Amino acid sequence: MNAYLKISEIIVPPLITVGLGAFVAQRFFVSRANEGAMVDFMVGELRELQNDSLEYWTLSADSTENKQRQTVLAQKIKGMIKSLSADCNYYCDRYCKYKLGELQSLLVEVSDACTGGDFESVRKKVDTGRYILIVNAINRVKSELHRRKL
Amino acid sequence: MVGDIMKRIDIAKDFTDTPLGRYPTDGPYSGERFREEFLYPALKNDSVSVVIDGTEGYGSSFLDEAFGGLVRKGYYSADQLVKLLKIECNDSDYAIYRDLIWKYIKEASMQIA
Repeated sequence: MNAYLKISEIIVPPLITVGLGAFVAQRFFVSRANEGAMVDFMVGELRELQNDSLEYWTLSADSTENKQRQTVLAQKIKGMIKSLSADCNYYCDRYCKYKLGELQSLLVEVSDACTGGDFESVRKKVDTGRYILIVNAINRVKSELHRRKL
Repeated sequence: MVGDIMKRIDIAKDFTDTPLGRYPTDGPYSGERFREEFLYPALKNDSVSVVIDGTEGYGSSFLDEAFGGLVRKGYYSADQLVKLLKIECNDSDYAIYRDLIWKYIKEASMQIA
């Protein structure tokens, strides 16, 4: 019985230490994996926003079909920006509170690029110049998110 | 201020929850209509609080025309608006629209300078 107690005195403390260490490490890696998944999800949303915005600004309203498509795209773009704003708030609240201001100001640029000018206007013309504005604004957000992930 | 009570415009409740476009030709709930029929009459040198929560999102064109238009039309300067206008958003998801509004007011003042 004494031998058994002696052995357990030797083994139990390191086992507890290893167990706690493994628990902390597991928590860390799970948190990193969840953060990575969240970043990937937001990057996917940004990619979709970029595609829809580019289609919207290069679509001429010369047919009823195109006008209908423009209306759908405009709603998708506005909805996606709002959804990105909510995701960004959640992400920063969960993983990096200090980044909220920076990401929000980048989203302001994205919103300005995607929905500025003659957005939702009957005067809207094909505006290929917006391509670079939209791509740059969205890429700045993507870079910031990827920097956090790596 | 009217009797120390700040006027309050809730866009979603008083105007529409689907603001859209810049000019009245773009739709019935355009930025210009909001500015001319709601915001400018409410301001008239009084403080106004504009609640931006509760809508389905804003296009920058709406915000630019509604708020930046106050400066471009010569109704108020950006400095006056800083004192008179309060943009309220209790839902943090709308914070980017509040930032956009101030950005357009600033940009409009630089355009007319």
